[in-house]
Amino acid sequence: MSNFVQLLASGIAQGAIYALAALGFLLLYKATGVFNFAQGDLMTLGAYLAYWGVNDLGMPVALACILSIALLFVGGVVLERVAYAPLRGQSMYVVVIATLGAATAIRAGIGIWQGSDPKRLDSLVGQNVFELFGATIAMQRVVIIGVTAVAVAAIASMLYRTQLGRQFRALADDREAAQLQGIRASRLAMLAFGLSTAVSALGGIMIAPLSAVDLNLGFGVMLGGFAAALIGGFGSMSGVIVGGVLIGVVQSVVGAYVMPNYSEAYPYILMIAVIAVAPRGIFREHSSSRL
Amino acid sequence: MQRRLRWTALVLVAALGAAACGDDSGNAAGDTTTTTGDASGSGSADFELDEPLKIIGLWEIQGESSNANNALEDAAQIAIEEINSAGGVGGRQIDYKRVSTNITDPTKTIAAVREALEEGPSILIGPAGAAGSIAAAPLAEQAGVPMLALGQDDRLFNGAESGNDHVFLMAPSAAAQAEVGAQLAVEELGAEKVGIMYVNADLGTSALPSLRKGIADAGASVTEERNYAFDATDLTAQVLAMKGSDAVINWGYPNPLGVQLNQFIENGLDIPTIGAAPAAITVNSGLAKGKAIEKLYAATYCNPLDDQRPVAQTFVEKYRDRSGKDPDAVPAGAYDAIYVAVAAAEAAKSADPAALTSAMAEVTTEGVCAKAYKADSRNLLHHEISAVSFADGTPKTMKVYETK
Repeated sequence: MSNFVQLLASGIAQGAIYALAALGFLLLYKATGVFNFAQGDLMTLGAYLAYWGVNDLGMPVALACILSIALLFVGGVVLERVAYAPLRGQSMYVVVIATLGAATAIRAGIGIWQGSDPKRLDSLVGQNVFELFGATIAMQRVVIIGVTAVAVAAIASMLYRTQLGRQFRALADDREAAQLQGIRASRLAMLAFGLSTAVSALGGIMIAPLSAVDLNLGFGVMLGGFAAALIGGFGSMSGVIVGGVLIGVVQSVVGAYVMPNYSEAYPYILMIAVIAVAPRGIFREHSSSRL
Repeated sequence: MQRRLRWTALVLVAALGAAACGDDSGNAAGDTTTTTGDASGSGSADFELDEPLKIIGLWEIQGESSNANNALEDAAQIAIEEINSAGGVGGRQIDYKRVSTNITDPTKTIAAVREALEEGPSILIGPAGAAGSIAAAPLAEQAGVPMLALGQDDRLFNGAESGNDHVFLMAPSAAAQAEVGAQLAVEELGAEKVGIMYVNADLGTSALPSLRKGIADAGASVTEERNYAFDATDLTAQVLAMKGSDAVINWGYPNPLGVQLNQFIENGLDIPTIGAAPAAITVNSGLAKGKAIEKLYAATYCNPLDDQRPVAQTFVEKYRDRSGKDPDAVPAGAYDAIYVAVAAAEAAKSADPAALTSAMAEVTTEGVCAKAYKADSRNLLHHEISAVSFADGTPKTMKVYETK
């Protein structure tokens, strides 16, 4: 029982990180129609910026994390101006390739700035643990679940309770109609890039204390997030959140008991199975074009 | 007449004595022993090279890829500066050049090695990784240029599937290293039930049979075997599976080792962990510290920090001055490789690649990372593995194993 609880908690925490990555994909895709494959490297950059804040600027961890998220929001806006705006009107494939180029540039830049040696980003809650039904659970995993819940609630509230959110949803629903109504798509695109990269930074900051800050940190998470978004159907926020958590739990819990040495493949097996059964994702039918 | 005979006999005895002394020094047997860091004799060698010894280092520096750092280049530069400031080799300064060589993408490795070979090198040093070394090996053979591979893979042995008579290995046998890891767990730490964790990449999967064999040969049993991804951030399932083991061997990269050590503490698992050479990076980077590394051990190529020989201490000091970091086995191997190349050139009295290849069998070099680099029939130069403890955060050598 205790093992099951522990695996479940780990799975939910890992799934929450996938969900944040998926949310980043979703926000951008809905507002601009772009898949940003620099998402993983932006997540990595977020963790490095927090490390830099703590170790080079001498900031407390919490402040360094806020700085990182703020800087990456700005970075997202810059990315939109550099890698997306000049290509507006071009084929989506061109834009996707541009985001891959941006990913390479970001990774190379981090490598030159910080080198390839792994680094440790301390957790806000140290290495404390608590017990639940006999299972030992790291506080950092609880923080991940809690912060993800708060971030999702904040974004949902922005989308559903503000004028800006209505513009976002109108754009996602019908881009041309929204533009005819005077919604400035380019400004919303900048905001979507900013929000998406800020969410990525949050994911990187949350996961780094559990492992290490290094150049590969965000790549695997990005793949998991992409799988989560596909499972959720790129349709609704709730879809990608459920998709992320589902992947994390399957990988952790099922992977512990059934052919454990193949557990790394489970997210993608799940993704392929969902695509085979429900090509538009498990939540797509109920929320075909809503955020 | 008798007086003349006595003098003749005396001269003959003296000549025979001198010849005998020559045998003792090894020179008459065609074997040359040199020491790294001791460049004093290089410039004043009793021969002159027609062309300078041209060494090309096949590695990257910081920023060139996600795996790149300056460790190899820093170490090589220290050796080159030592030798050239003492006069070079055969009266000429070493002509050293680095060609940026990616170690994870064989296509890029091959392109880099081709670029290096176009420079007309006397000898190649690198690449650093196993995959890169395997990709580069046939090119070195085709060009007839000796290559001191820094990557560790037993498939590179001369006569094995990826080796050839131009490739010489600066790192010890991977199989032997894994077996030493198992011996360390069972014989030194007293484990009877050993769990195995390994990265789902060549480093881990290729070591698995040797780990199993080493544990069985030492009279212990394997409790669980669990793999993980190279970028794993959560090892809960693997860690829980290790409960019930007396010790765990974790053959993988620094980051997941740090994750495992921290999760051991979270789960109250107070058993030894034995890692491979990258364990030093886990500790140096602070990925695990304090109680998490109190029972961390490693089977590694060498431990220069705890080696009291002057050659090792001098290198450690110079490396710290240059890079601001403590050296581990990786830069030590690159530093030694420069000296092995120089020893071969001095033995051959030539910078010609073919002469260097032939001379490699004759030279014995005392290095930082091995007391004696000496090629065996497989072209393996390094025959030692150090068992290291990280209990107080700095690596302490427990035992040095001589390996096949």
